[in-house]
Amino acid sequence: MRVVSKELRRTIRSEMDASRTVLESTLFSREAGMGETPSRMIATAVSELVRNILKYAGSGEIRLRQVTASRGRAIEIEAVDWGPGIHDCDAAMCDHFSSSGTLGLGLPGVKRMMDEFTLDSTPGEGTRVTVRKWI
Amino acid sequence: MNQFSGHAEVPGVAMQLSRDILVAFVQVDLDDEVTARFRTGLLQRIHDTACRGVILDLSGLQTIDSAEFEALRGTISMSEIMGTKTVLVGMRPGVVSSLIEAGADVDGLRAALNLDAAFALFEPEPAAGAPAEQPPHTDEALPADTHPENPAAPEQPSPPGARGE
Repeated sequence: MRVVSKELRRTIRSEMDASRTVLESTLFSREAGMGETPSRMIATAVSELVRNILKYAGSGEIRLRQVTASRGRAIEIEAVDWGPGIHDCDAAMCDHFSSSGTLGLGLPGVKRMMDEFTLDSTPGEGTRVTVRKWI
Repeated sequence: MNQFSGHAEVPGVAMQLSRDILVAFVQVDLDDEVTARFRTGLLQRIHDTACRGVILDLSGLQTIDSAEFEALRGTISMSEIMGTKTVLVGMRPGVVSSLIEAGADVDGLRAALNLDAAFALFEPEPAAGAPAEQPPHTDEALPADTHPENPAAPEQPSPPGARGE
């Protein structure tokens, strides 16, 4: 059972979209009653996720939600793209793994910052990362 | 790039020379564009002013992700290679915890709680034997072996408070 009480959808096509969405995510979680430090973790997670969207898929979407589920209220972030997908999801979850020869996907960090983490990717079709942090 | 030569203005970053140390107040988040302009502007100012050191005041940062931080580290390495020690100052608790959770590599970075502490890191160490103007206020500053009340330390370390007296 999961009830969505608020949703914000943002298309990510440029660095500017990305920066704006990161800032909005801080406000979104503060308004939902989240404390200072967890709000910054939400913003940092959004920042990592939009960076992956821009780098690997070129464009995508961020959906920020305030949800009520089993353990109470949470902020949910869903990052969706229709890019090349991740071929080896296990490797992508290793620190410092990167298929573009740079820093890595930031996904292990996102997982550490959040309470729930789901990575769903089909090569050739796209990637969906869904995370939740309880308020 | 020409437009940034000379005393480059970097939008969102205020730079000021104080006591021969360049203080850069980063007031916006370091996305790729800000990072690139900041890097160019900072290195140019270091070159122009021949400053002794750089203090990066990051209290204005709202968020920094692992890639932005890595780019910042790159900028710090560059200023160090130019010969200026660099100290970070004023990162907010939430920014710091996100950064560490995100797995950022912070090895070898110098940081201080506030500007005063950062400036203090640039003061020369008092010469050995000379009376210090100000008493050292950190444990680190005390030489490890100046404990006259504890001659001939026992072989095995004793727990605190276990010694007599």
